[in-house]
Amino acid sequence: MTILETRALKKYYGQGSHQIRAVDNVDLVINEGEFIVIVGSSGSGKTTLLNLLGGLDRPTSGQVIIGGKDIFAMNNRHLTIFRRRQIGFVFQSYNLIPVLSTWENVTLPLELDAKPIDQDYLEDLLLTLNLADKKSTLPSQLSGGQQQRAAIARALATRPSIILADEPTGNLDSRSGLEVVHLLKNSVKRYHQTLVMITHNETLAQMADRRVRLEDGKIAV
Amino acid sequence: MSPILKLAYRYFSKYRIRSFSMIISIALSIFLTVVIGSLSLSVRNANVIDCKNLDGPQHVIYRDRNFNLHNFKKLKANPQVKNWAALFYYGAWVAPNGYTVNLLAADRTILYMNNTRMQAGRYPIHSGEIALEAWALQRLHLSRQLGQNIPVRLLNGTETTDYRLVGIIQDQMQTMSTGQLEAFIGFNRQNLQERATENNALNLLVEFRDQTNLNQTIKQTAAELGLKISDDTVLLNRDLLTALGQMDAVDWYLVSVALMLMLVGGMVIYSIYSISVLKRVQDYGMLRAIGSTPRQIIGIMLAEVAIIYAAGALLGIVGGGLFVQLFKGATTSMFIPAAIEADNFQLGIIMVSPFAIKLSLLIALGSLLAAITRGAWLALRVSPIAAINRVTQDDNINLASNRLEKLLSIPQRISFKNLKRNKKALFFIIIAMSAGCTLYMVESFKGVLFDHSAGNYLTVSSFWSDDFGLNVNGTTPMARGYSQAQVEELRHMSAVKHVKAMQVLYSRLKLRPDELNGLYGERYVKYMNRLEANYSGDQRTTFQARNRQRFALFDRGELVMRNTVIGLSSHDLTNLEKIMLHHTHRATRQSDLPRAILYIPRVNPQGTFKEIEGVKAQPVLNIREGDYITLTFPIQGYRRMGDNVALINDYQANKGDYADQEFVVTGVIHTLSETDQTLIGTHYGPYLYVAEHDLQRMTGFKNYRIIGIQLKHPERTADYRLVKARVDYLADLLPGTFVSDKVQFKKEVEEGHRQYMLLIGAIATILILIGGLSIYTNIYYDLISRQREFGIMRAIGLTKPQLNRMLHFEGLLYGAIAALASCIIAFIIEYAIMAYYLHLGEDPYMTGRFFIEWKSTLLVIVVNLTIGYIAALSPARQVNKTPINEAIRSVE
Repeated sequence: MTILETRALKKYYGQGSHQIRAVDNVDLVINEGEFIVIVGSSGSGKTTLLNLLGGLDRPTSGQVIIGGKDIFAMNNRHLTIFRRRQIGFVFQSYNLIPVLSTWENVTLPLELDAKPIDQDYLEDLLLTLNLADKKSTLPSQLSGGQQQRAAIARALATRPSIILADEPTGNLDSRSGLEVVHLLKNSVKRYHQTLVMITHNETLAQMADRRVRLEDGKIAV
Repeated sequence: MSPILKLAYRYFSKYRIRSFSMIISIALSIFLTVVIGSLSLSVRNANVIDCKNLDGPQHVIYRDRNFNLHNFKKLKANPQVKNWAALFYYGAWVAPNGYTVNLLAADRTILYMNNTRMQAGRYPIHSGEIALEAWALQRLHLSRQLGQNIPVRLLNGTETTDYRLVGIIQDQMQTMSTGQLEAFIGFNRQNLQERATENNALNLLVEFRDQTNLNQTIKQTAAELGLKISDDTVLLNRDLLTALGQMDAVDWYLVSVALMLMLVGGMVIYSIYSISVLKRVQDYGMLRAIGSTPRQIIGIMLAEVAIIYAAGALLGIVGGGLFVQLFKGATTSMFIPAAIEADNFQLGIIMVSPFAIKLSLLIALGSLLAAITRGAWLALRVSPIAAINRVTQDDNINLASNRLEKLLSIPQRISFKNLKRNKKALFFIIIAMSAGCTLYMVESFKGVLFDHSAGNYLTVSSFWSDDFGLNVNGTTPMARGYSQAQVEELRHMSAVKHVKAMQVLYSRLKLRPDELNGLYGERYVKYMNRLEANYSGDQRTTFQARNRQRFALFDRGELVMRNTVIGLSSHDLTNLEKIMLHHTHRATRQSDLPRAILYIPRVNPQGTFKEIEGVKAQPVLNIREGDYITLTFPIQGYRRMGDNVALINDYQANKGDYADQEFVVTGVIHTLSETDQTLIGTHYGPYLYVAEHDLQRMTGFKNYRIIGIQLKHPERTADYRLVKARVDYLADLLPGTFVSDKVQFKKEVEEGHRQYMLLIGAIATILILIGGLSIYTNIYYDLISRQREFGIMRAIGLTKPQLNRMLHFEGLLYGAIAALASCIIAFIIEYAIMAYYLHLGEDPYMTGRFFIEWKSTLLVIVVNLTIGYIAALSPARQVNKTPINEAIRSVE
């Protein structure tokens, strides 16, 4: 079943001869439960595409349809709430809130939604991610790998249908990186989620179900 | 342009808000310091001018009992002498309407020394010529016709001499407000020969040149004139000399204000600059990586700060110098605490204080250098690589949650935790904001406290609160005075707000020797006897002032000491007890004796009233609440309408006329309440305050001898004239009655007070502005520097309303903490002030308990919360405007 679809998605910057076509007329279909890797050279538009898929940025034109809903037809508030509930983000630089503990960072999207916290689920999640004993620890006291795992836990906390990961292993050593991707893959399989990941790492890319290559903002055939 | 200067200028113009904030902070601090310093200097200068106006520009009066006219040549030849005048007391002229006028023979320079001039005609030169002030002519019921003959009969004289009015002198406020009548006749040999007696003296009023070492010169000149230096021969114009001394003294109040301003302003600069440097740590790392030395890095900082300093200093000095000109012509009685001893005066000349400018520039420079030192340390403490990689995180975050946080929503919790994390910024915000708010609250509190105290003072001491005063002359028979009907008539005048009428009795106290307070008491008695014996003033008496014990003497083992009794209405006595005795133990001893509140003078160890620094004055008597005291008064002589002065001063000769009355002392005070303004009712002696019905019962006299009148609308000329006419009429009924007219004086005092409060308000406002700038800047930059954090939160689902609420909450939190800190600090200071005045008895008019001045407290809370809220608005807007993906990528 299609979980995410883009139709003639474009993101242009500037005008005329200086125009940059970061995403140029991209049609993409992603099925539920797939592990998709987006690859491409630097400046090919991977992050821009991922941001558009997650509603972090608005396209110049085109549509992104998630779960049958055109996300850019929503207003900002609805889009934010939709993103909060349906999409989990993992960034390259972990992007944890420095003043919140691990547990608080993980439960942050739930608390923003004023939703009750499923303690068992989250405890299980932290256990899976080897963070069970780091609940009260602040991000500055975690290693890079631990911080990224905490970020993953946060992304999975709301049980989103889609996880978007932008170079989640970029700041990690190869061993930690591999570990993180394995965790992500296992988690999405376990919770029937879809994972879209950007990576430069060929080894990690081979772990995906499908590769999407971007060149100059277009999907390369 | 050198790369250092280029970089400095680029940083200055790129970070405009920061630069502007720092410039404003410096400018405001310098502005206020210059304004306060200039006002202080102008006030001191005006104080000097005012002293010269009131007491004359002479620095000293040399009193020569030998009438040595050769001294005139010496003064003329003395290069240090700027001006001098010669004057001697010619006699007391008793006018037909009963007033006594002091006839003074002086040369024309006396007009300069009295800060007056001829209004019409000329100054008298020859014998038989006279000049008076216009108000004096009116009081004596004489016309202003020049050339008229005025018959003058001297006290104790039998002949009347005609004097021709040759000139009218411009009114002097001092003599007019005290009712002291003077007339001037020519200084010539004939007049001199008639009055050069041993009881008289030639007074030489001398003004020295500016920049003279006055202390030294005064002594040297005294020696040149052949005068032995003593309090009797060398009379210093203490007020003027003190005022002149203040001009040269360091204005410590200004220094403390400047330091406080710079502390507050300096914190703004310090924190802004620290943030600024932290944001450029990468830049500095890169500069160092490519070869810049630390010295060059510091050079960039110095250059940047130099631009800010120059701009701020220029704005501050020019602004301050211009602003202070607005106070030209202002009337002030308590403008600057440093000049608080000065009386009411007008700021005719505004002087911009070079000291204030230098001080403010120096302290501003200090603040900036401190900021640079911190900035340099921040920029240079890490290696270039670490700086480039921004490895500057502080790992020591310990943010354990508490119960309060659990009650907050997650965005609020984040704000709260960030607050705890940024303790330094919070500390600075609190201090910066608290300084201004605390000062404002404390000054408001003091204003209310002192208003209350002043109100109490004016309730028990009507002399300064009354618009008009009538004080029957001490020589008028005690059986005479103003009747109840006359007092009621005054009360019923539509223009009159309040009339206070008091009885007076000149009497003596019979004391046991042990009731004298040791050496203080003994020396006091000697001093007073000497003082009274030397006085040759009021000569409406047959009593010869040769008696060396007219003030106090021993009789049959008892010390019989002069005193004055004031009879108050029940209402006024109750007020007096309530206000003056609140802090003392009131006597509860059961007694049928009439009650009295006793005023005991306090003296220095020499037994005089001169204030000696570091030495606390002590009471002259050992009498306590609950003690009995015996009053003795020449009632028979008073009933006979005898000579009051002789009756009261020559105790031995008139003992037979005296009767005794015992009182129980219900309270002892050391600050005078109501007083008799005549010489017999000396302020230096003890006073008894009793119920008027007791006084009436003792003496049989029902008249009033002191009346104080307050107008409803003193600013209304018609009302003023109406009441003045009535007062003058009443004064004429009892010749010699002193009349005081303080309407104009009170207007100026009130205006001065209003302007003082305005100035305090301006100081507090500017401090609050500087503090507000600090809180705004700190909050602004704290929030802006967390763009990435906010971006993350928005990415994971923080809506715009949630974000706004979070930022506003954080702003309000800062504001609330600053408000709380301000209130706590202010309350502590206020309590200390109240304790000092109330419990240490420093202000006898201070009553009541500690209170919170709600108006200023609420205003401070509102201001802090408002600034906190406003400070978050712009960052909220900016954060919302920035696209999420951009925010996430932003470098903190």
